[in-house]
Amino acid sequence: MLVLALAACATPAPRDAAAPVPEAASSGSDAAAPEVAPEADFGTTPTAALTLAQQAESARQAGDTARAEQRLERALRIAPRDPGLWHQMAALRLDQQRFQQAERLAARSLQMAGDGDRELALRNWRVILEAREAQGDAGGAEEAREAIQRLEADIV
Amino acid sequence: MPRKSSSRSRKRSTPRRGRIRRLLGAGGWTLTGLLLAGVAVGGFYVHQLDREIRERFEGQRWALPARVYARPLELYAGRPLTAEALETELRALNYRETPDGAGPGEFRIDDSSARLTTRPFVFGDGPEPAHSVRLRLSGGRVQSVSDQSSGRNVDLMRVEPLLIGSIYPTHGEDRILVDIDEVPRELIGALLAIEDRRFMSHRGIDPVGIGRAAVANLRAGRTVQGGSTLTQQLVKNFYLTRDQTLTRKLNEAVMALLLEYRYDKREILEAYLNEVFLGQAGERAIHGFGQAAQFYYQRPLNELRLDQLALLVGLARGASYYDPRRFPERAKQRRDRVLEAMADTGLAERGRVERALATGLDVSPVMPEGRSRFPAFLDLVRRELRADYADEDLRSDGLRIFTTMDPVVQLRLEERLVQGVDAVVRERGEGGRLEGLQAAAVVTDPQSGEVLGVVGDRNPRYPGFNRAVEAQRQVGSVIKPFVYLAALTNPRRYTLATLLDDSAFTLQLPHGEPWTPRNFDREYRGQVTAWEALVQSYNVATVRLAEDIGVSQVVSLLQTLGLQRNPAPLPSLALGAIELSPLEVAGLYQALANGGYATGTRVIRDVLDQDDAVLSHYGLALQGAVADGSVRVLTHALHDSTREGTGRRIDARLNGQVVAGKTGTTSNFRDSWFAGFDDRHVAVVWLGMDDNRPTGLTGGVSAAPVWAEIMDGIGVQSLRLEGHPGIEYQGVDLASGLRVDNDDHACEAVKTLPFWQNSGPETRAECDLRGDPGRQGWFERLFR
Repeated sequence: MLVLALAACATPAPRDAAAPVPEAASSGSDAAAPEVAPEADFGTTPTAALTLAQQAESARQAGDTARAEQRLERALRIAPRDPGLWHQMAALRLDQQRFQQAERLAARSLQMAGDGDRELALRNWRVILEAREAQGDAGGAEEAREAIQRLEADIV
Repeated sequence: MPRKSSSRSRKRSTPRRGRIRRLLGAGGWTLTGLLLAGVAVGGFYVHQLDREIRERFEGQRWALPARVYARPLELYAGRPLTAEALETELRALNYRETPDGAGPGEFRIDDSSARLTTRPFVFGDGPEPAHSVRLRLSGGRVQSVSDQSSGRNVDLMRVEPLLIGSIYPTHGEDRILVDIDEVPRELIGALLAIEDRRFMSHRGIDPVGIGRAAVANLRAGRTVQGGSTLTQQLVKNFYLTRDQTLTRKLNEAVMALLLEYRYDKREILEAYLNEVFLGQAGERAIHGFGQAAQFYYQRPLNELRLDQLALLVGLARGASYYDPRRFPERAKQRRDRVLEAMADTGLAERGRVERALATGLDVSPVMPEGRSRFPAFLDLVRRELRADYADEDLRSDGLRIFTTMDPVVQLRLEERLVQGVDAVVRERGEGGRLEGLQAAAVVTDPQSGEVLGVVGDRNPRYPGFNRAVEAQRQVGSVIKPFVYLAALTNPRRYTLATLLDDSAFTLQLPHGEPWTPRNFDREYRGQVTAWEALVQSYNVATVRLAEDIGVSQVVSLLQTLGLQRNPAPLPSLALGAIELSPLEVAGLYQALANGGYATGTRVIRDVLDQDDAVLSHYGLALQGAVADGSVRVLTHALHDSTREGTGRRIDARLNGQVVAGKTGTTSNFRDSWFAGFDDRHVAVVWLGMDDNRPTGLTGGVSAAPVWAEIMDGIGVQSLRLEGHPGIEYQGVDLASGLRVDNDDHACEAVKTLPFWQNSGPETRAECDLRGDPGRQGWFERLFR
């Protein structure tokens, strides 16, 4: 179970990347160890970035995605290694129906968070699922669904 | 004073057509004047002039240049910032050092604290009010930001951004529009006192004034006074040529009357304040008091002292004749006359005037040129703008363009590039051999793709050929990391311990000609690990590797990481037989510095129109990506390259701070490169001759030390290489590429290398086995 769960939080292989060598391993498929580095220093995101993220969220709820985007970009400049902010940006891109960006940003967030935060991983996979569905990527969506199931089972 | 959009968008008051009663009430001059003019040249003529006036006054009155700004400095607790960097930024903004830093545009910096007072500013995501704050600085960071008077914490604030350049109308007129309500009342009062005392009561022309001037001129025997009203002067500035014909005088008078008839005094005065010619710098003509304040004092109009306001007022009579930089004595006399007039008319108290009279001219000595201080950056901005905006819009619509430039990074980059290249020339340019050596460099933020600084010439102020963007040069070994990355994405087949063949071989190129790649030192080394081949930049082994994985795979990887070209997949590509600009190289390296994600390079954040509406926002976008494990493994090797490889001068200069990068040298030493990164920056340096003459310099002895100098200047933030859970470390015998487990081995050279996805070598090296006391015994080791 643990192995499965760990694999589930791994970064999805970059789907749009040119795979320079055909048999390039897709991380997360069969790796026994978590694949991603916890780049984030959770303790060091300055309050300023969190304030901006909150303002972005309010703007988004008010339907002002342009302002939300600008506030979030400011937050990311302050704390470029906070996976929560990358996730928020992914969710915003989903709102903006920029599905490819939503998927990439969520994958970046997963990559940064490592296996540090299951809740966040789950939210990222949900963005990925929705983005893949919207892009008509049935196989990718299925992969995301499985990842979500594993994470849900583990969290409960 | 910031441009106020309201003053421009406000509807002009409706012309008062048909208000005959009012006209009759005014009685005398307007009517008589109009009648006389009408009789003299006919109603049609007046009608024409009237139309001209209305067109000019009711349309967009002025072509306003686009303003290009640097990124604003964001202040918050936790921000990396040294007192030195803060001072650089504030001085670039022309802030003044004062004892308390309490006035707008003032600062004071002590060891571990700073006070400053900013000015309000409108950004793309809303207005930022003025702040008067105190910062505590220590450990290279802002520890706290608090309001100077209340002491309350300030979560986050922005300092107004540095104006890095303007894109001028073709006629060269430069102005910052001011709203009449924001203009100091002393300035307006002084202007009326010295130029047109009866402005509030006359109807466009002032016979009393003309008479007085005529008498004065007669008495003096020459022209000492003008009888023109401000309205006439405005008309003269607005519509007419400078020739002194009678027709022109008549036109001027009629138009002045018409102007006064149609518009109120406030509007005429505001137009005058923004129109009057107040200085010249090369092609650039300074119009209006808003721009003049910046031009002469580098401050907004509302921050000027009485003596400074008086000087500007004095210039209205003749900005060239009273030019304070060329004729300081004359300018001072004129200023003092304005000050006296202010005292006489009761505009300012005697005491204040006396103090102002005692103040010397303190016009900023350097005449701010129309040309930007940062030509290469501005050039890059214009290139990007051209994709979405017509040249004419940029020159006339008063757009505000917010860019990604970090002025501190830009200034340090310039300073260190110049120092670094000068040192190379000094040390290696014996006999003038390196005369004409050129340089270019780019610094970007890999996470966002934002360009922080650009230099396109060894003289960073020179606005010519922008080599950072325009120079297309062979990149040499700077491309090699991408060959190895293409391999490392498949850890089942390639690792840093994989042995590559570095022995002579000849390839048949598509057109049939043979090609024999050679190493830099013409030696061949037989079997070498991929790690050594990359760190020591062996050509032959690298070409073989590229052939093995397929050069087209390398091309496809480069395109995934943002390359906007389609190079032929020839084996020589593996050695950098591709011409790229430093900016393009930086774009590729960003993916290496950003966990495998390409972000592209961006220089513009927002474009705002005159009313502060966002016309374009250029947002964060992630392009293609490669798996971060492979990138991390590669980064280890690129770090080793800066310690023990061709870039080893870097480690010595940066005292062990952790950076990664690659040298590049093209055939016959035509180009020297270094491209690399730390945790927050990508930097690329190129050196070479414009005419492609050989320099005799390798990237390792020239571009690498310059790069280190630049990184030291902008402040290295060390890479964190360890801690990737998918990566394990294993000792490797460099001769065989096999594992070494014993500390006590007999191998000649062992290196601990990172391996992704359990890809480390399984077989133990011979020398390790020999060194294993359990297997080989102590006896053999004794005689080794």
